[in-house]
Parts: sequence; C-alpha cells; structure tokens
Amino acid sequence: MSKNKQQEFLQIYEPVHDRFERFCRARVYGDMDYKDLMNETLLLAFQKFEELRDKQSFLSFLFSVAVRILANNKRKRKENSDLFDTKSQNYLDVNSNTDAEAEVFMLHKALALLNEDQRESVILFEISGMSIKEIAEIQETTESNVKQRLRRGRERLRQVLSFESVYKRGEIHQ
Amino acid sequence: MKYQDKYNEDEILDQMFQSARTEKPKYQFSEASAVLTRGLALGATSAAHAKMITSTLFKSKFIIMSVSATTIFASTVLIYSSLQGSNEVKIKAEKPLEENTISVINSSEEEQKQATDQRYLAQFVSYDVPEISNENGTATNSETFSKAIVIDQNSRNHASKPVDKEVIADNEPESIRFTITEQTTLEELKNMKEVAKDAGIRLSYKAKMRRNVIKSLQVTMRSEDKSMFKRISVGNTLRSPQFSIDLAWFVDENGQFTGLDDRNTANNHFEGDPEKDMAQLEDDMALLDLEMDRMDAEMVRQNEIMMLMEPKMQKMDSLMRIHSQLLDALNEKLEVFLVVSEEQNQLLLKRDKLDEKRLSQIDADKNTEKLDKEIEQYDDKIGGLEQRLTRYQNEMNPIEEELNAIGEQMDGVAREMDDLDELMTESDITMTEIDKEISADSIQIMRSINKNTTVAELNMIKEEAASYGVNFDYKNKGTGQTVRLKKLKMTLKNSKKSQLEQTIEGFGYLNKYEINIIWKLDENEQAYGFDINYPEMKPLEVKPLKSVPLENKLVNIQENREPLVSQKVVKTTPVEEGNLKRVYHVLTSETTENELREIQEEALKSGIDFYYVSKYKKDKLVHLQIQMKIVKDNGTKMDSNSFVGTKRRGSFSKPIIWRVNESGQAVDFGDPNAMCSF
Repeated sequence: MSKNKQQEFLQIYEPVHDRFERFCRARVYGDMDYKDLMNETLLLAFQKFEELRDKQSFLSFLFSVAVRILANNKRKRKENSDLFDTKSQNYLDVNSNTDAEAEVFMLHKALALLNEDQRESVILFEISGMSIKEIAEIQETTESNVKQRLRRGRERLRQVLSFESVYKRGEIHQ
Repeated sequence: MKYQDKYNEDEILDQMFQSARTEKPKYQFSEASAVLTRGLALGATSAAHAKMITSTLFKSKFIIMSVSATTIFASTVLIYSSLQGSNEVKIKAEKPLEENTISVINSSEEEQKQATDQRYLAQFVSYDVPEISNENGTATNSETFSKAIVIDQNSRNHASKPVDKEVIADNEPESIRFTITEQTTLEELKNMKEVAKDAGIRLSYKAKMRRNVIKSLQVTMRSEDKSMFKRISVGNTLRSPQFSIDLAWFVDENGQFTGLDDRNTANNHFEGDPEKDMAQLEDDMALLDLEMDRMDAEMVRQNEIMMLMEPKMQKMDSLMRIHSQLLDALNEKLEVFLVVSEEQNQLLLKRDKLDEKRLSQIDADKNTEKLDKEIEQYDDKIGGLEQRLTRYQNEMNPIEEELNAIGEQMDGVAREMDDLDELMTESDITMTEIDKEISADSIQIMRSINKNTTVAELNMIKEEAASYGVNFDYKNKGTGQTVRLKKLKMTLKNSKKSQLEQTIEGFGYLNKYEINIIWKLDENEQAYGFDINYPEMKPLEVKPLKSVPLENKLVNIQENREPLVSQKVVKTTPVEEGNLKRVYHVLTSETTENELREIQEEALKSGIDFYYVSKYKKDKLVHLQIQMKIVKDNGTKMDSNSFVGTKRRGSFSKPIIWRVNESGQAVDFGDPNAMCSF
C-alpha cells in the first residue's frame, strides 16, 4: 500500500519537479538551502497526499505546502529570535558561468530584496507560471492583493536591477 | 555589462524571467525522489525505535535513567571536547563504564564542568548516600561526588544473612549492627535508637505500621559531630512488601561511634517475589547489556573518529603555527614596505618639485626666446618703418611745395570770397526790399479774439483758418457761450513739409486780453505765414517744430518776433496799467530753487511778505506752498495762501502776479486761485 502510494506520488511529482525546483530556488535564495525546503515539502506533501482531491492541481498543492512551511519557519524564527543567530546565510551559486545563469543569479539576488509576499507572488506568476487566481489561493489572499503585489514587486525589481542601483551595490566594477 | 546599455527595463526583466523559466534544474528529480524514499524509511525506523524505548522505559525506570545519564554524560563530554579544540581530552572506552577514568587536563573550568556532570549523575545514583563533610550538608566538593559515582558492584553481591544485632570484634574495630525488616517492631526501633544514642549517634525514624507490619520507614542517622549522615527510606511504592535494612557502625573501646560499617549495608534490599524479581532483573540486565554493547560500539567509533581526528588536529596545529609564522613574516615585510613606501613618497614629492622647477625654467627659457624673436621682429619692422619714413619724407617734399602753391591760391580765393560777400550783402538788401514789396502786395487778414468772443465766432475763425490752410486749434475753459481761452495753437504746413507752429497759453487768468490773428495770404488766397499779436502779454511759447525755414518770408517773420522765453520761469517786463506796473511769474515743475529765491527777493523788494515751502524730487518741483502778504498805506491788509502739489496732476503751472506803483511798491496781487494747468 505504502509502496504504491509512494510510486503514485513520485509519478505525479516527476513532471512538475522542474517548476517546483525553480520556485524553491528562487523563493529561498540567500535565506536557506532550497533542497531542504524541497525535501521537507515533499515529505509533508506525501503525508497529506491522500487529502489531495484533484491530482491536476498537484503543483499548487506543493506550492501551498512549501508556502506554509516557510510561514511556520518564519514564525518560529521570530519566536526564537533571541535564542538563535538570525544572520542570514548566503548560498552563492558558484556554477553560474553562462550568461543565462548569470542572469538568473542576478534575478534571484534581486528577488531576495523584495518582501516575502511580493517575492512569492512574482515567482509564482513569472517563473512558475501560475495564474493570479491560483496564487491567491496559495497565498490565501484576494486576487487584487496578488495583482498589487505583482505590480509593486515588478516595479521594485525594475529599480533594483537598474544600472545605478546595481552599480551602487558594488556589483559592477567596470 | 548589459545594464549599461539598457533603455527598456521591462524587456530586460522579461528576458530574465524567461531565462529563469527555462533554466535547467540543479536538483534532479532522481535526487529528490531518493531523498524522499530515504526520509520515509527513516521515519518508519524512528517510529519503531521510539516504540521500543517507550516500552523499555515502562519496564525499568532505573536502568533507563542510568543509561540515559551515562549517555548524556558521555555525549556532553564529547560535545565539550569537540567545542574545546585545543584541550586534550582522552576517553578510554575499552574498559567498562564503571572503570572509565576521565582525565581532563585543563584549567579549573574543566574541573567545574566535570563536577557539574558528576552532580548531574549523582541525582540518578542517589542509592548510596555519600558522607557529607561540611556542616550544611550540601554537596559541593568534587571529591565527595567522585566517591559517590563509584558503585562498588562487589559490595552488592555480598549478601549477608540478616541479624538482629551483631558485634564483630576480630582484628578490626568493634562494629554494632542492626537489621530492620518489615517485621521489626517499634520497640525494637526504640532500642536501636537508644543504642545509637549511647554510641553518639542521633537516630531518628518515621515508620508507618499496618497490621504490625512496617509499610514505610525512613531512618536517619547523624553523628554528634555531624561528620556522618545517613538516611534510608522504604516506601509503599516498592513492589515487594518485604525488605531488610542493615544499620551498622564501628565503635571504639568506649563504645563511641567512629565510623559507618559499610561492609554489609549494601545488603539492604527489598524482597518481593524472588522468582519474579529475578526474571525482571534478568530482563533488565539483558536490556542493560544491549545498551552497554551499543554504547561500547559507539564509544569505539568515537574513539576511532578521535584517532582519525588527532593527526588532522596535529596537522592543523602545524598549519596554524606555519600560518602564524607567515603572518609574522608578512607583518615584518609590511612594516618594511610601509617604511620604503614612505621614503618613496617623499622621493616622489621631491621629484615633483624638481619637475615643477624644471618646467618653470623651461617656460622661462621659452619666454626669453620668444621675446628675443619678437625684439628681432620689431627691429626689422623699425628698420622697414625708417626706410618708409625716409621714402615718405622724400615724397613729402614736392607735396609741401605743392601745398605752399595751393596756399597762395587759397589766399587769392579768399580775397575773391570777400568780394563776393560784399556783393551778397548788397543782394540781401535788394531782396529785403523785394520782400517788402511782396508783403505790400500780399493779403493780410486779421481776426481779433477777446473775452467777449463767443465760441461760435471762434469756430468760424477756425473754419476760415482751415480755408487758408492753417490749422487752428484752441482749448476753452467751461462750456459757456463766452470764450475763456486756455490755449491757442496755430499750425501751417507748407509744400516742402516744413511746419510753422505758434502756441499761446497761460492767459486765461487775465481780466482783459485781446489776441490778433494775422494770416498772410498769397495770390491764391493760401496762407504762407501767420502771426499772433497779443497786446496785453507776450506770447508764452513759440516753438517751431522743424525750424528750418526755407522761405525768406518766414525767416523774416521769425526775426521780427520777440525772443523766446524760458519755459521754466516765464517772466515779462512790467506792463504799465495806468500808472501801475504789473509783474508776473509763472511757476512750473521745472522751476529751480534759485529761481524761486529770485522771485522771493523781487517780491520782498516790492514790499510783499513772500514765504514759500518747496520740495524737489528728481530735480522736479513736486510740492509748493506760497504765502503772500501786503499791508497797504491805508492800513488794509491783503494776504493769500496757495498750495500746489504734483501727486495727482503730474505737472503744474502756477502764475504769480502783483502790481507795483511808481515807487516800485506792491499795491495788490492777483487772484492766487486762478491757477492754470494743462
């Protein structure tokens, strides 16, 4: 029974793995290791796999679980902020050699400067290709809120990625 | 970088998102699925492990507690040793745990740590209560606890038979021993207390009896000098209702307490169902053995790790030493480098100064060369000029000669001119005569205007003037039928676009006046000139706009006219009026302070008290107040006070009039309120 369930789970998961991986990588850039988030999400999703009614919305289900895990982590971090060192870890991608990878690296870095809601909305919309309605369900908010977050997030990204700001942050030396 | 050239940020952003969307995943599906599978398997194992631990926990509290304590202690020490990198911690795990010797070579901090760990252990191993040496009975001395944690297993195995009271007196000191079982009565306990009291021990007990059987008992023994303290408790929580406790101590020759006899006190045990207990004990022991084996394996592994780590640590130490040596060397070199760089800086500064000096020198040299060149050029130019001068002088000589000849010619011409002048004068005389003849031939039409002239008559004069080609213009005061002229202006435009204009103003205040207008007409009855005669008063202003009279007739008319009077102060000569003479002045905004003073002096001479207050702004009279007073011969007084300002009007024209008799004394003065302004 358990093996069957596992097989079914992996079978559904395989097609959406890439998109899920991209979401996790962009979402927790500079905050934690995206693999941890993926593993934790997958484990939790597997446990609650039977609760999933529509297998077509498996990706949304994964996103929801990941978003909740992140929210819980954030809450715990806030509660234990005096016990733990809150210094953020920077997971630099040393393999970013090609132009495209460098571009994605820059984008992830810029996304990390947005607030969490905006970042999540922008990633889900622009990178994961979710609709606004789906994002609203994942984030448990209204569609207009999502639209606002997308607009502001994009605006902020434009500011962050402009030459002046990149130059000011010392990422361009020439 | 591409951001430098970007102008459409949105496009770039979209491009970046596109790259992010199409990027290959770095965490492959196979890895993720493997991790998931492993995680699920681990989850199942950990659940089973947790179940087993729980069941064991219920089976034997004590053993689990001991094992847990040992594990925690061992792990604490390990963690501590891993945290203290340079401290040397050796754990020999090959021997059983009871015989482990933990030698910590460290400062007092280490000892404190060890004491803390031992204290932690002691709370679980409170079976053997240690001797407390200090008065408060609190366990702070580490030696005391080191005794406490040593559990002598042999002593447990020496189970002696229970005896009521046994005095052992072989070669050893005398020992007094009591055995308390559940059947011991209160009286026996009392006896024990008394015996103990005799020996210098304060023995107290709390016992709960039920059906003459002790259900719970707490015995406390304390020596008089408080060097010994022992407490034994037996409670209802015991599974077995049977127990046996040995109380034993050594006494000296006087029967006084010298120390506890611990040889058989470990026999204190609580008996239940022996078979069940044994089975339970065997189970527990088996579990303990398992745990011990696991711990042994763990310790061995840790030792291996430590063994592996040791050379690395040593290597690291050596690397650190090398690193520090390199750092020292680097610092020394840095210092040397700094000194050298400072010297280099100073040298560079000196070189800069020298460069500057050299440059200034070069500039000076260049300037000198330039000046030399310029001087040479000027010398050349001067030479050229001298040559040219010589040439001009040579050229000038014949010209001078020519000039002298021309001068002589000019003298001759001048003489001829004088002759011509004389001829011209003669011709002028002739022309004047001809003019007179012409004027005699010309038609002159005269019209008179006085105070009785009506406006209609004046308009008729205007029309007539227009028929002669003269523009007649006037300004009248009031709207009555009788003319009260303020200004009279006549203009004549001739065929050569020159203009003759004559204006009369400032006579409106007069009681009597008469103006004669004369038009001079040619044969075509068109005016070629005009004249205005004002018998009472000279014309105030005659201003030819373009005073270039081309016709001799006009010139003659102008020459016959009275000289023009200044516009600032209009002053006329006294006009006889019977035997009285009239003096008048017209003050305007252009009147100066000196002119006012002159008028004042003249008035004072005439016997008029004349006072004035004036205020100038930008050389213009803007405020004027005049007071005039006369005391006549018959004693009558006459005074006037007039004020004029330019705030509203901008400019003004104020006449002052008085009449003097033959002796030059003022008789009266005009109406000061009759003020004319245009």
